[in-house]
Formats: sequence, structure tokens, C-alpha cells
Amino acid sequence: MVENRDTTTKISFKQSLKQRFRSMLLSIKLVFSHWPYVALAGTIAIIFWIVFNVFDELLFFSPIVVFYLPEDAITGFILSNITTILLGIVVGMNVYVIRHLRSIKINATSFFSGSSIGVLSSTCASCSSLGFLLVSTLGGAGITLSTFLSNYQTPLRIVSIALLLWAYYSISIRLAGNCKVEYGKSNYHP
Amino acid sequence: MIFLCAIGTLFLLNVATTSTFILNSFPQLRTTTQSQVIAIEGQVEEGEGHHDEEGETHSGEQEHHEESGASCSPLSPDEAQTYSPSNETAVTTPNNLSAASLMKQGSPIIGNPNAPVTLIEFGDFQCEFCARFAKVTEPTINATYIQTGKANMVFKHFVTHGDDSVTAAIASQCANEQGQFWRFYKTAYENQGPENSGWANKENMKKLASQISGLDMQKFDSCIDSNKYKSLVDNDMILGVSLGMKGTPSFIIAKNDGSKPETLLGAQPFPSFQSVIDKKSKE
Repeated sequence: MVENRDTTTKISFKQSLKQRFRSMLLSIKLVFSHWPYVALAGTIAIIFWIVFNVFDELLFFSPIVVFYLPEDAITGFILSNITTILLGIVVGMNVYVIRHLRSIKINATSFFSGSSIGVLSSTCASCSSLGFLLVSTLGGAGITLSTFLSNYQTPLRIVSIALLLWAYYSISIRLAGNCKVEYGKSNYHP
Repeated sequence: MIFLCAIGTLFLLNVATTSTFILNSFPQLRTTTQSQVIAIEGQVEEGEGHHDEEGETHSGEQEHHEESGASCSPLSPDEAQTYSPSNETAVTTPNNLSAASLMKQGSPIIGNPNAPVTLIEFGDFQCEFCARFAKVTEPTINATYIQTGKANMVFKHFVTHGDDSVTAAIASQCANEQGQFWRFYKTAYENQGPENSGWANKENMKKLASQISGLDMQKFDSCIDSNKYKSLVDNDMILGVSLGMKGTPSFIIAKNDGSKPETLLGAQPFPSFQSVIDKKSKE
């Protein structure tokens, strides 16, 4: 009996996972079938791509516009690209939700913390003017803070991706959930 | 709309972290630091006669700073007010950036000292972007401009990453004393560890230096233990601040006499340096 119950649970968990994955894809199709949201997501992704790469010292505008990708920056570049794509998707979906489905509450915490951590982690705090000012203002505490940001750059980026994925998941589940007809709770009486 | 405004605010906040926002919030910081710079720069110029031809710094200079109490201690508000903007400009006169003047200050130089262009790097041995520059861009600059006599390169210490950065800077100057700075430079960046993890403390600097052939380790150890070049590192830092440096690596590319300086920020790739150095050569 116990075995049967476990099998049932496993199947339902798999089914639930499949359903959730399907609703995540559906919500992307729903939002990005409208070109203004594609344009918005693209613009946001491009803006953040520029910000990340300027902070990573891969993209420069002065004295000449130049981009390069040295070996030591490849991992960070891949992670920042994932972050920018996710940022574009999440912003596009959130704007869609606000405009069309006002009753749905967006997961602002995940989005804001994800994007903030993403941008902050992309700076080598101590190498940039931020680190210099942190040290001048906070002394020892500033050094600790800038050291933390520099040494934990990759884990922080992974955290920011996880938070953005969570924001994307929660908004897509809510979007898909909004289209479900809940027969049990329906007020429709033929 | 509210959401879009929030996104805009977030974006601005993040960008502001780079510096401007904080700097504008604490204008008194900038004033104080520049005042310190001016005060100490004046003393450096006075003390320049204490350096010998080999670029070594005599302990007399250190004593001079210690006596005046100006090596790194903040000035009193009264003292700070005595410096006028005209004095501030005196700090960054071309003479201070000429290859000859930089050599006199004890800064390491590579290439022909009379080359028409001087590239001054403000760096920190704990900075990962400085390591990127040393590994990726510097070898190409070296082969294209330094080895061909078209430019020379001077290193200045801009230590913003903590005490170990100061130790590494002193160690590099101790290596410079024996004519091995550029070997130390390469070895340190190749062996760079996580920031403030202890890889750049005194013991590890001694171990690192022992990998460099031709270094008299006894001399090196006593030099690093005595903090002989602390005042030189402080003065480099002060010069960097006076020139408006806010991060590492930062570069100044100027004519050999220090005139027409141009600043380059960050670990830029070779084409950026090429464009400025070529321009300076033609000027």
C-alpha cells in the first residue's frame, strides 16, 4: 500500500513539474507574442549588457569604443549574459502583468534583489572608484565590504540568476494560473 | 508606469554606485584628500634632493615626513583652508610627470628613459584588473612600443585594497632596489590570489621574491621588514589622488617631458593604448 502511495506521489510530482514548465513556456509565448514587449525586453537586456560589460572592464567607450574578452573574464561574461537575458524577460513579463492583469501581485522582491545583486556583483569593487570611496569613507569596514564583493563575485552572480529565475517562475505561474477555470469555485449556474 | 519608474530608479542607483553619487554625497572627502595631497607633495618636491642617482630613497626622507607628521595623517581644518586652487594646480605640473622626475622619485621604469612617450601605470598588486592588464595588454605594449624605443613605462603604486597591497607595493620597490621590479611585477600578477586572503603578506612576498633569480634575498628581507619604501608608496598614492585617479589600473600617457597628459581608465585592450600612444608620438 505504501509503495503504491509513493508511486502515485512521484507521478503527480512529475506531472506537476511538467505542468509548471509548460505554464512557464506558455506565459513567455503569451507575453512575447506582442512586439512591444519583445522590444522592451530587448532594450532592457541591451542596457544591462552594456552596464555589466562596462563594470567588468570588457567594454570601453573612451578613447575608442572597444570590446574584448580575455580568458579570465569568460565565466563572468557568460553569467552576466544569462542575467541580462533574464532581466529582459522578467521586466517584459512584469510590465505585461501590470498593464493587463492588475489583480496579480508581482514578485518585486526577487526581481529587485536579483537585478541589484547582478549589477553589484559585476563590479570589481576594489578596482573601481566604488572601492576607493568605500575605503576612504569606511576605512577597514570599506576594505572588508569591497573584498567581499570582489572575492564572491561569481557566487553573487549565481545568486542573482537564481533570484531572477525565481521571479520569472513566480510571475509565469501566476500568469498561467490566471487563465485556469476553477470549476469548483465557479459561480456559473446554468 | 510606476513599475517603469522603479526600474529607472534601480538602474540609476546601481550606476551611481560606481562613484559619482557617493562622491557628490561626501564632497568634504574630496577636499580633505586633495588638501593632504598638496601638503605632502610640497614636501616631496623639497625632499627630492635626498634621492640618489640610482633612484634609491634615503631614510632621511622618511624621517622628514615623520617629523612633519604629514605622511598620512589628516590635516586640521585650519591647515586645509590655507591651500588655494592655484596651489592645487601646482601639484600636476608637467614636470611631475616627466620620465626624469618620476625616476628621481624612485619609480620603476622600463624602456628607454628618453623615449618620446611615457606611459604611467597606477596599479595595485591585489587588483584583478591590474593582473589582467599585466597578462593580456602589457606584453603587446612592451613588444610594440617599449622594446622598439617608442615609449617607456613607469609604475606608480595606487593601493586601495588594504594593508597587504601596501606590503606588496613595498616588496616591489625592494625588488626595484636590486633592478628586479619588472620580474617581480610579472611574478606577483601571475601568482595573484584572492583579495586580502594573505597571499600578499610579508611572508608570502618573501617566498614569491625567492622565485626571482638574481635577487639578494637577505637584502630583500631586511628591506621589506624595515618598511623602507612606505613613504614612497604613500607619495605615489597621494600623487594618484591629486591626478584624479579613482581606481586601478589607471594610466597616464604623456610626452616624455610630462606635457599633454591623457588619462586612460581601466584594464583597456591594446587598441585603446595604441590610439593614444600613436597620437602622442605625432603631437
